[in-house]
Amino acid sequence: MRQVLAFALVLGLGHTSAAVAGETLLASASRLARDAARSEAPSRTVPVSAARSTHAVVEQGQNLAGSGMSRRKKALIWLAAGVGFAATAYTIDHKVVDNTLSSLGTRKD
Amino acid sequence: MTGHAIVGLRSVRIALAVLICGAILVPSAWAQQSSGIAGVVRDSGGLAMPGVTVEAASPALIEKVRTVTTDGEGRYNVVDLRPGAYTISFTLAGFSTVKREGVVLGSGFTATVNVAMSVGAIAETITVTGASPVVDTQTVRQQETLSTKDLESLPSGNIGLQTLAYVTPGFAATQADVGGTRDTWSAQGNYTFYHGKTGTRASYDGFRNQYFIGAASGVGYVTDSGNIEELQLETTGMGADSGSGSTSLNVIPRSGSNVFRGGIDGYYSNANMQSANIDDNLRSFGINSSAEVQRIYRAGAQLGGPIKRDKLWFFAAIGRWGSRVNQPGAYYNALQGKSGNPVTPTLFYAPDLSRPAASFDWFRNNSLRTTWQASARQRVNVYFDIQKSCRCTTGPFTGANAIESERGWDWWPSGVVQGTWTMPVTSKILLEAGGSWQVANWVNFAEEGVTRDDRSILELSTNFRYGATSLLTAPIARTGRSAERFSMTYVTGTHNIKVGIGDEQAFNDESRSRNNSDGLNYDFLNGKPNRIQYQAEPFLQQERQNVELGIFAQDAWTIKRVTLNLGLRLDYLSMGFPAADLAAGLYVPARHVDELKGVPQWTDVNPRMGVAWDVFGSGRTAVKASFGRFNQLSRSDLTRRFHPFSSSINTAFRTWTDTNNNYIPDCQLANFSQNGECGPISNVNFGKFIPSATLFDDSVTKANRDYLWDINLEVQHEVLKGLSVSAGYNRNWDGSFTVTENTLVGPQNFDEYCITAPADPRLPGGGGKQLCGYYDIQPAFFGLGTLRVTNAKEFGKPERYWDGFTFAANGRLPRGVKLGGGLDFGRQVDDHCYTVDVPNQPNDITNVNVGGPFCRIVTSWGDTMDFRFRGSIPLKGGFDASFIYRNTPGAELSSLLTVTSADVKFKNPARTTLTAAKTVNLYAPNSVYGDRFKQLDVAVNKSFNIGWGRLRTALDIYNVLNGNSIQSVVTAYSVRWLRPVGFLDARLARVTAAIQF
Repeated sequence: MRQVLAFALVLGLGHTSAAVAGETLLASASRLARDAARSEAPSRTVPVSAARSTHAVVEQGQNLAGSGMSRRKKALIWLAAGVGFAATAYTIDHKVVDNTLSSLGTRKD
Repeated sequence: MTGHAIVGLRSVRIALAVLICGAILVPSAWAQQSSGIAGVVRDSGGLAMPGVTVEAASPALIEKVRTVTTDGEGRYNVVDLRPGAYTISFTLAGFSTVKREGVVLGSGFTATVNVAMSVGAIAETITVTGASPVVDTQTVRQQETLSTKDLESLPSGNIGLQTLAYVTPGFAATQADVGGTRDTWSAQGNYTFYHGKTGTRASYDGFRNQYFIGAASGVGYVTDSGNIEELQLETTGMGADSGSGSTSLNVIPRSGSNVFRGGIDGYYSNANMQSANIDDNLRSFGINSSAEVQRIYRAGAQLGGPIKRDKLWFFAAIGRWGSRVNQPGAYYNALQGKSGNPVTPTLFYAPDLSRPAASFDWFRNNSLRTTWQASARQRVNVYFDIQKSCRCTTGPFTGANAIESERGWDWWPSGVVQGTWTMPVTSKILLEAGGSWQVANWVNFAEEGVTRDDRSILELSTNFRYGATSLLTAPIARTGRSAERFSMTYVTGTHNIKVGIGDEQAFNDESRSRNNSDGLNYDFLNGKPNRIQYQAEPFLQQERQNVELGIFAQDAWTIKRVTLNLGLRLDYLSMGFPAADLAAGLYVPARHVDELKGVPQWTDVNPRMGVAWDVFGSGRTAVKASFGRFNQLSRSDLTRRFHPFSSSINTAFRTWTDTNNNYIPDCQLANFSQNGECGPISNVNFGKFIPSATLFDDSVTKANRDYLWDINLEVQHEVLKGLSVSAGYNRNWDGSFTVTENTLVGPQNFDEYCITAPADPRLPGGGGKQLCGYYDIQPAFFGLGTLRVTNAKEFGKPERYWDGFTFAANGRLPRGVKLGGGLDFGRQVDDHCYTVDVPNQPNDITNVNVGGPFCRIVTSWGDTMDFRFRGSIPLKGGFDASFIYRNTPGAELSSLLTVTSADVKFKNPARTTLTAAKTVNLYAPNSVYGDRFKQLDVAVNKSFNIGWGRLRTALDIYNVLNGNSIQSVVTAYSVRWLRPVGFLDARLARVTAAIQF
């Protein structure tokens, strides 16, 4: 049974990959090879500032600070996040069973 | 002890004060294993170009750009880069500027980027895009990394330093984590053995974060996953700048930047999200339930940004997480406290099926990092984390013993303060310094339902303990360490020279007591009293590491396509203990020790050499070889053995024949001669304060630090852009062994006896055969003697070595696909066939017999075969799928039989009785393994762009195949022999949500 599940999973993963790429596994392999072959191809750009790393853009991502929202709106979001987390942490701290000696005040060191 | 209590409270206050002040004042610093970019610049004719300005720019750099120039051979070398994506520009008057984009660096990786420049206007830029280099052609260090994004994407379970060991083939399999079912503390310390080597160094931001308790190396600072930027693992080929330990794990922490960024994350799972995985095999052992998750949870928040733009930044993280997991077949004792016996309230165990017993822990971390750009070149980091935690059942609690025999750890106050300083004086000279201070209080407490009148009882026939914990580390249990480092790096295109000095100090204070104030535990055999186990109380153990000095020099010297890694390290270690007093107890007089330093006092010279060859000069194929000498992690076990409080005989046992069946030892307990129902004490020195009861040879205290040699050969090749494969051979062997001998006895004072193995088809050959080679001391010498700890080479030539191979693949493929993992296997030989006292069965440093009578243990290639693979695949619609698969050796199936006089036959016909019950191996340990361990975890992530941030959701499914691979079994030969005590927890789903903004 486990082997069948494993097989199904592997098949599923393979299928997913192919389906998502919108191509067969063979086509996918060919594309990888093509990508690899052309990855070092240089391109000329003028001026210098025109070039920009796409990776850097991805790394930067969206964030509240650079969202263009009004200060008030940003502050409200920061506040909501802070209050929400503080409430969660407070609830966890007070619901967890705490039988440690330091909390019970019985430590003797 | 009152004095110690006062000292303890003061220490706690001082610790808190230092922790807070340290966060403000500590000016020191340190550098972890940094990354770099190096290469050669040539013109279109292939000639080297000196004087080219090379700029490495990245958002990961606070100073944004790092600039160097090429040397006379056209080489450049940019060092001390943080992990991240880099753009590299090459500029020289009369030539077109060349720009290489998207070079992604992991930690500790030197990317080779060679370029050719052509004549043209400097304003003209040639932009080269492509996958980042994945073969490090300059360093011989073999390493793995996992970034935050990897950790987010993978079904990582309980995230910490161990996560990287968990996915790396070659690390000895230990109890698996199924989505957080394993308690955090033991999970984070789960990285001990790699290729048979003990002593993995674990660090946070380059500072060792392990506690200082005997030979153990668990974490003294538990990491909040919200603080992790990247995890870094080095397995072989480490440079001279690496301290003790032959394998190294490190957390590279997150820090703030000029942009305010925050995040809230959490995960949750409970019993409704879990399957069951009990099958007929487990039922045949009487196991009818699997571990049941009550809850696994985490809530974390992080916030980073500028306090003053381009000048001062902060990063704060708060974490709350924990777990409660009912263990299979584990129940509270229905008979706890109900014996009616005036001496022992709990005599027997019967499960109360209405009260399942759970492993239970929770953690609270609160940390803050500030980064200060003190000047254009100087940067200072200060970090602190204060944590309170409860390791409420000493883990991993698996139900192998009764819950009442566990003990909780009150982890408070604990935390860390660290500071680092870096200063690139010029583009060629970099100065780094740092300091760290860490403390962990871990005072033990008894489990629910256990009173101080209870005592711990071990049923020998099943090796099952109940009643109470066998030992409480209380009321004092604190350990910590501090470190200071300074280094200078001088970089040209051809050389990367680093010299430095570091020092580490550590302390451990640890009192021990039995749960019952009379200091006695009992051993029963088939429900009948058999032995009384004594402990001398009160007891306090203290050790100090006064100095662990390391001075090193190393150079990565590039000659054409070959880089020589040359390093030399001088290590000096000195430990000792402070003056202390202990009051008299029931079986011991008052004791005093004076302060002592210099035990041990060791000096070692450790060469670390290697060569890396960029075979085709393309940066895509490398052949590497390295060899090095590595000291065992500094630890306190020898000082602990030497300490007069410890080296006196503090534990002993005596037989107990309960002739009247009242379960009360009817004898004078303080009279150690045979009287009443009690036999003679097992060591006549028990209870006496005899600092000289154990002698230490100078060969141990002055010249015998554990070390090993490590040789590694590796070929690595980039088969596709971004994907590398490698094949490697590793051999390592230990170079020093310590043994304990009894100076009054020799092999002539032991009598050989034989046993008849039980007839059992599960035993090799079906059992039933007579087995000999077991020894017992002659009664006239029982309990006598002075112990002497010395170098094993006095007696023979012990060996421990590993030969093995690793085949691995790692990297990124187009479209964001990531893969990593491989196959690892080897052969280990552990040979202790020489005689100290018992023929061919030496005792180790702790006076425990090694192997006997099986002195040569060979772990075969097949039994170490280890396959692990991980990957992530971006799917349509913002979905991302990932997996971790592990196929590792199964449970080790030893067989230990407890025998009494009735079960043995001496070769000397005049002798018929044992001095005490014995536990013997029926076959060589580490020679028989169960079915292989298999685990597949998968995760599906989905990210949503919410305009002002990113919402990430994930569904992790752990143990997708719902296997129940067995990880450990009862090794005591009895009706419970081979009964699983640890098996893979059932399939579990866990949901995660995180907002980053």
